[in-house]
Amino acid sequence: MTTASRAQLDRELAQGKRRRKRQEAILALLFVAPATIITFMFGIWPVIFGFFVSLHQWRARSHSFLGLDQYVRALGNVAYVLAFLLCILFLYGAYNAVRKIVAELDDLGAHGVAVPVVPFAAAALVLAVGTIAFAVGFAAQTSDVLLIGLVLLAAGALIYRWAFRREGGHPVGRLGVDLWQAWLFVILGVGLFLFTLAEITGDSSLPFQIARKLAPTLYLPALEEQMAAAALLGLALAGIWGLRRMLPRLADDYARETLHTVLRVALVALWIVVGVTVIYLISAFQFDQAAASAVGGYGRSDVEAIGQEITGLERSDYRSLYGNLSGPALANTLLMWPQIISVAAGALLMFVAYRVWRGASQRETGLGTSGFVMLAILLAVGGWLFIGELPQAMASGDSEYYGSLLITTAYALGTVPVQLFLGIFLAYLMFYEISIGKSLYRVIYFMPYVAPTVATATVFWIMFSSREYSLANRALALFGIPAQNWLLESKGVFQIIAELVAGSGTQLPSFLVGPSLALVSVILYSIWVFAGYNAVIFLAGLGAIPGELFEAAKVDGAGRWAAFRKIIFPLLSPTTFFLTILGITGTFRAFTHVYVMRQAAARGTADTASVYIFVQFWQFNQWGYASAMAFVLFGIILILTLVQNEASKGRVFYG
Amino acid sequence: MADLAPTPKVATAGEARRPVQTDLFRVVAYVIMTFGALVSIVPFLWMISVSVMTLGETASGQFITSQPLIETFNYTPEEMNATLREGIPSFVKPTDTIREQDLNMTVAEYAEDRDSYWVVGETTVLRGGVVNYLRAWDKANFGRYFFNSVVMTALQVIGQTLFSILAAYAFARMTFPGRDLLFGMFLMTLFIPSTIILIPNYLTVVGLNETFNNFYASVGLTELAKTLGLRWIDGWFGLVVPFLASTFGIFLLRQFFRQIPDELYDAAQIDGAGHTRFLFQVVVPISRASIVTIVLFTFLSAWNALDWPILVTQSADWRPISYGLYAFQQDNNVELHLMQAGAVIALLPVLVVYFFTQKQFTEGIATTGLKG
Repeated sequence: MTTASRAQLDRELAQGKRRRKRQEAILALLFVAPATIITFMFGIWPVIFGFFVSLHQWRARSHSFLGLDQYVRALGNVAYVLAFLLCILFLYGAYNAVRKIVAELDDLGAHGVAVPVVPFAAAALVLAVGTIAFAVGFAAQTSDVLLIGLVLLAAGALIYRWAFRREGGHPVGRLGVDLWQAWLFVILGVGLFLFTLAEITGDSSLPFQIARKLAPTLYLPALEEQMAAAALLGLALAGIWGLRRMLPRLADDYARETLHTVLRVALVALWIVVGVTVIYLISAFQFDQAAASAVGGYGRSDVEAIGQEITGLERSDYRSLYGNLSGPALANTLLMWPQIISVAAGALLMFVAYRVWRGASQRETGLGTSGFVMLAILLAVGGWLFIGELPQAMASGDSEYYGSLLITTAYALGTVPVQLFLGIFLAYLMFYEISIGKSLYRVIYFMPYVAPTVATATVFWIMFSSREYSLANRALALFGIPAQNWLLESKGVFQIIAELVAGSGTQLPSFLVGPSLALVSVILYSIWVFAGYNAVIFLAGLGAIPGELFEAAKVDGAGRWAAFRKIIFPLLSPTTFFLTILGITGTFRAFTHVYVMRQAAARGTADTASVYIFVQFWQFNQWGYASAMAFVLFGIILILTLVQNEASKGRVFYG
Repeated sequence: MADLAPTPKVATAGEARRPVQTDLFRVVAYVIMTFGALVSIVPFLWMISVSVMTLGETASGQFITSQPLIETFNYTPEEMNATLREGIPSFVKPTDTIREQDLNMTVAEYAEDRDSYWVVGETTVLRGGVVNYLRAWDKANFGRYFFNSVVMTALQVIGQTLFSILAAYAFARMTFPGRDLLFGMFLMTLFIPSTIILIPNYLTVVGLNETFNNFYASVGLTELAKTLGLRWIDGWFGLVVPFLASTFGIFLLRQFFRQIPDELYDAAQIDGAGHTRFLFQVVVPISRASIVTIVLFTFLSAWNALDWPILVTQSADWRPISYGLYAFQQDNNVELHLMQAGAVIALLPVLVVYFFTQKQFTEGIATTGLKG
C-alpha cells in the first residue's frame, strides 16, 4: 500500500465518520423534535408567558401593563420587600460570577492564552443590543421591547456556548459563560431595583402631596430622599462586606501597604455612612409615622377634595384614577417605605443570623463558639423585631389569598406528618411482622392512591356531609358525639371541641380555633389516600436495607424499638426525606380533591392556595392576577424545597 | 417483593428467644393491619353500596339497599302500551306514589319516566340496583364521558409513550449539538407546578383554537373538523396534545436506556441495524418494564385529570369522565345513587388495570415515586 492511497483512505474514513456523525445528529434531532416542541410549547413557554401575563391586566382582546401592581394587590407591601430581596439575590449571583471571572482571568494570564476576539465581539454586540432593548423597554414601560431584550440576552449566552463549544473545559469557554451570567444578573438586579423604585414613587407621589396639605405643620421628608438614604445604606453595607473579605488577603502583602491603609480608612468611613443613614432613616420613619397617624382619620371626601385640587382633574376622571384614596390608604402609602425597609432588613438579619449560627459550630474554641451563638441570637432577635412590621405590610394585600396560604400550611401540617407516621408504621408491620397475605395488604393499601381522585372525593363528599345519617356522623354517634357539618362547617375544629366539652357558650380566642372542620375533612381524605402510598414506598425502602443489619441487632439483644430507632429509621432517612418533600410540595399543589369537596357553606375555609388561584382565574376571569398569585406560590414551593434540602444536610444518611 | 421478606430461619430464631411476646405482637400487628385495610376499603364499599340504592335509601341512613340488584318483568306489547288507568303493572313498587297525571301514561312511558325502572327493548322492564348504572350510563351521560376518557387516555398513552421513547433514546445514546442544554431545560420543567402554566396554556389553546377554526372556515371544513374533534376547545387536540410529552417519562426511560451495554449496540451495528432498528427491535423489548410503568402513569394521570379538561371543554359532550363526574356532583347533589354509579364507572377501568398489573404498578411507583 502506497503512502498516497493510505492518506486518501484516511481522508475517506474521516469523511465517512463525519457523515455518520452528521446523520446521527439529524436522526437524534428528529427523535427529540416532537417531545421538544410540545415541552417548549406547553411546559417552558407558559412560564415566560405566564410571568408576562402576571404583569398585565389581561383580557380576552386587550391587555394593559400594570407592572408589579397585581403582586402588590396579592401580597401588599410585602411584594416590594420580596422584589428587593430578589434584587439582592441577583446581585449576589453577579458577585459570584464576577469572582469566578477574576479567577479565570488569572488562570488565562498564567497560561498565556489569548482571548479569541471574534466570538467575544459578536456576543458582546448581542449583549449590548439586548441591554439597550431592555433599557428602552424599561424606560418606555413597554413590555414587548423588554421581552425582546431578554430574548437577545439569552441569545448572547447561546452564542457564547456555541463559540466555545469546542473548547470544552477550556478557561476561555467558561469565561464567556460566566461573563454572560454576571451581565444578566446585574441587569436583572439593577433593572428590578429601578423598576420597583419607580413603581413605589409612582404610587406615592400624589398621596405624599395630599398628606402635606392635610397636615401642613408636620415635617414629611421626601420619599426620594428616604429611598436614597436606604440605597446608600445598602451600598455601604455591601462595601463593608466586600472590604472585610478583601482586607485579610491584603494584610500579608507588603507591596500593597498603602492600598491596605486606604481601604482601612474607607472601611471606617463606610461604617460612619452606615451610622448616619441609619439615624436618618429612623428619624425619617418617625416623621412618616407621625404624618400617617395625622392623616389616617380623614375620610374619602376630604382626601378627594385636596386630590382634585392638586391634580386639577374633573371629579369623574379623578375617581377613575384615584378613586380608592382615603385617609387610611394615605397612611398606608406613607408607611410603605418604612415597612419595606424594616421587613427587608429583618429578613436579611435573620438570614445573617442563620449563617452565623451555622458558622458557630466551625469555631475551634469554646469561647469563639459561644460568642458566635450569642451574636446569632442577638441578630435573630433584632431581625425578629424588624419583621414585626410584617403584619402591617401584609395588611394592604389580599387577605383571602393570605388566608388560603395559611389554610394550605395548616393542610400540609395536618397531612404530611400523619401520613408519614402511618406510612412508616404500616410498612414496618408489613415488612417485619407479617407473613400471611402481605401482598393482599399491599394491594388494598395502595388502592386509594390509584383510584381516580374525583371518584373517591365524591364518596368522601357524601360520607362527610352534614346529614345525620352520613357515615362520619354515624361514626361520631358511636361515641355519643352529636352530628357535625363536616365539609360544610367553617368553624374551627378546636372551637367545636371546646363547645362539645365545655358547653355551647364557649368561645376560644381566634388564634386557637384551629383549621375549620371542612379543612379537617379534606385532611382526613388526604391521609386516607396517601398513608398507604407512603407505606408502599417505605416498604421499598425497607427492602433496600441489608437484612444482616437487623439480624445482627436482634442477635445482640436489641428490642424492636431499639432496632427500629437505631437502624431502620436512620437507614430509611432518604425515603423519609423524599416523601417529606413530595408531601409538602404535593399539598401546596393540591387541587383536584379540594376542588371537588369544597362547599359554599364552608365559606372558603377549605380553599387551599391553588384552589383559590383557580377560582380567581376561572370564575372571576382575573387572569393576570391569578398568574401573579401562582408565581408567588411557585416561589414558596421553591423556597420550601430549598429549605428542606438545607435542613436535611447531615441528617439524611445515604447508604 | 416476596424475595425481600425475611427468611424463615431468622423468624424462628427470633421466636425461640422471646416466643410469647413475639406472638402477641404479631397478633396485634395483624389486627392493626386488618383495621387499616378496612379503613382503606370502606369508602369503596360505600361507593358501591350507595350506587345500588334507591333515591330514598340514599337519604335514609341504610347501610345496604333492600332492593334486589336486578329484577326482570316481561310484558306483551299490548300491556306495555296500556295506560296505568287500565291497571297498575306489577313492577311498580307499593311505596311508589302514583299521581293523577301518571294514570294517563302508558306503562312504557311510566317506566321511562321513573328513575327506578328501565325499559329494555319493547317488552321488558328492569328494576333494582343495576338500573342506577343504566341510567347513569345513558341519562346522566356517563357513557359519553367514559368514551371520551377512553379515547383521550388512549391517545395520550400512545403518543406520550412513543415520544418519550424516542426522546429518551436520543438523550441516552446519541450525540447531537445542544443535547445537554436541551435535557437541562427538560429537567427544569419538573419543578414547575401546574398552577403556573395552566393560565398561559389556556390562553395559548384559545389562540390556537381560533387560528384553526379560521383555517377550517377558509377551506370549508368546519363541520368535518367538528365531528372529528380536530379542534383545541371541545376537541381532541386540546385534550391530548399538551400531554404528549412528559419530562418525567423521558427522564425515567433515559436512566434505563443508559444502562444498556454498548456492546449490544455494536453487535446490532455489525448486523447492519441503525439506531432506529436497534431502538425498536432491541431496546424497546428489553425495557418493557420501564415502558409499562410510563404507560401506567400516563393512563392514571389522563384518567384522573380535572383542571385541564375543565378549561378546554365547553360543551358537555366533550367532558372526560372525571369532569363529567365533577359536573354531575356540582349540578345535581341529590341523586347520590347515580353519582356513585358514575364514580364506580370511573373507578372500574382503573381497578381492572390495577389488579392485572399491580406488581408493576407498585414497583414502578416505589422505584420512581411519582404519579406522573
